[in-house]
Amino acid sequence: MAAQLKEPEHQEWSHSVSHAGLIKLKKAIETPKQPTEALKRLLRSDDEKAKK
Amino acid sequence: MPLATGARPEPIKILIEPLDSSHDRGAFVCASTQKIQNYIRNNALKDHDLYKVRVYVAVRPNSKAVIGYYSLVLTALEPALVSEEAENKFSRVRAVPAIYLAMLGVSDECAGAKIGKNLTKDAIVRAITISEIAGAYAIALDALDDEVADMYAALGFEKFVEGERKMFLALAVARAAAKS
Repeated sequence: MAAQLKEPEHQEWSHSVSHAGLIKLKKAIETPKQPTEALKRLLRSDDEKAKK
Repeated sequence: MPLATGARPEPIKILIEPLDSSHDRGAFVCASTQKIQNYIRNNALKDHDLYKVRVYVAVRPNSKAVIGYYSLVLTALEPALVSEEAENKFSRVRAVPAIYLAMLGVSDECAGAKIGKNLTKDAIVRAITISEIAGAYAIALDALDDEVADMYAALGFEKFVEGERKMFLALAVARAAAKS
């Protein structure tokens, strides 16, 4: 399957990030911060959506 | 799309469902950001059907007119090409599997009606579900402008690099928020 894909399409599926950015991400993964209240509220809310 | 400003209309009840050929994509208007409008009208269904991305649309109950949408795709966050010296220094850092929120937009007629909020929530919840199945550490996105970046920052998204608008949210944080 992969051989049938054009290179530009494959490239769309990866994103280049600076090393400093990746280190920041890895730190966030290894030592997750507490979720913000806004994120908690967002994920709790279900008032406007009828159903998935 | 830019964030809505001015008086806020009443929230609209919506359904969020996978895109299919029954949806009226021509109804979606986003004059301020043609890329968002053109994608749902011209390319989204083809990409969705090919599983290149997955597209989820917001519709009113008993309607097929698309009033908002977002798309998700698996991605690898890879280190940028740097000098050999820098590469040696940061050699421990390799690609990180993630879910990319490629696009999210709301039709102009519904701006400010909390549809974007509901789509964002749905995307994060779906990213958590995907990570349980296939493994992914984070959800990543490119914010359209600084105002949108600030909105995501309030939810806990972090910029990879200050001054840029490529952002991530560790899914461990999202899982903790969902359980709280």
